Amino acid sequence: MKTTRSRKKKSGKLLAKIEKGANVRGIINWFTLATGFLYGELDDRLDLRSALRKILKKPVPKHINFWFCFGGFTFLLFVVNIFTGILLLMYYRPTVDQAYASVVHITNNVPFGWLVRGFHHWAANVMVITVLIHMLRIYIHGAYKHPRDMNWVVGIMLFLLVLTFGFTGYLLPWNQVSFWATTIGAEIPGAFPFVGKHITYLLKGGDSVGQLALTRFFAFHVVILPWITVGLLSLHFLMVRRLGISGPL
Amino acid sequence: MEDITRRDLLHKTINSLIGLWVAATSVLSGYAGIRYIWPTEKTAGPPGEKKISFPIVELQEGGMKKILIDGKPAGIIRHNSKLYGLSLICTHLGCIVSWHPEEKRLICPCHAGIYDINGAVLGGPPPRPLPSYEVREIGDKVVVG
Repeated sequence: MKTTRSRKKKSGKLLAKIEKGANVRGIINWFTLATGFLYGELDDRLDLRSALRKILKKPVPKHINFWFCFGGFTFLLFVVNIFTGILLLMYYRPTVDQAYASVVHITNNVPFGWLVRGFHHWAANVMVITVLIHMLRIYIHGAYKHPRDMNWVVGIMLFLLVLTFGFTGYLLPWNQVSFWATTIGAEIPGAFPFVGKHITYLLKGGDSVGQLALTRFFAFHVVILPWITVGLLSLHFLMVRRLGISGPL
Repeated sequence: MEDITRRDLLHKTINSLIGLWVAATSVLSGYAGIRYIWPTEKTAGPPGEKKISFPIVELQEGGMKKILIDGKPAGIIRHNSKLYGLSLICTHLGCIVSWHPEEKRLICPCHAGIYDINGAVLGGPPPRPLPSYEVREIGDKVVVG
């Protein structure tokens, strides 16, 4: 009884404070004080204030709607996959003998391992869908046309990179489905005249998918592709910023 | 208070909600992330045995047997038919010291810390003597810990 009454009293006081506007201002002041210790020093040297104003207060065109968000969604999922991917690297072992066992270990034994792996898996899958919706939006709005045609080309490269991420990542758990999916995937360029056989041989790292393929796919998945993607994404965003968002339909 | 507008209130409310959301997700994912990387029995292996025993025939006069006790390396030395149980972790920076029977000393290969057979420091950088373990001879077995 007593506690509820005092809580009521407190909440009443709080409400009164909010009504006065003092509390909101108080929180903001406290926050400014806490961050200002670092922010003030940085702003003093780098003039962050005007830079932040330029970035955060940039007006967005009126015709922007939900369908313009899918590039951003894709980027968010990419960031999620970078974080969860780094976490998975702490337990994953890219060898034929240990890969599958280490993935089972992550899922069953490591605290929150199921969550980290689940996020990596689902973010990767949903990313393909968001990329496709993003491309569809660009196509329907005709946003791929001059002067944004270069950015469309960079976007296509990024789309192919997403698919390559998926293809290389699929092998890493080293279970039946990943082994055969890679075998089939490596056979496809074999239909290409003259060089096809050699591409298949190179992808498989020999006559059948083995340790060599696993190690190489791993290297591509965790080092080579991410850095190429980061480079192309920077170009992509720079061009969006420079050219602005395309007009309404 | 008198100069707070509807737009101001909305701005502040939305900003506070975003701030709360960011704080909540960073606390939760930080918790999950730390739990994820923090070693557990399942990820780092079970803790070592607190008590170790082995047949005495495995220990020659003047020799040392390396064992893991509580997960840490220790050495059981037999010298003049007496048994000595010492931690092998150098108290300087944690390298594993080795037993030199001809000099009756334990010498650390990293920075040449020197200990005698009781673990006392004879020279070099170690700040403390080597911790010792209780060793007993029960029948034809050596029991440590």
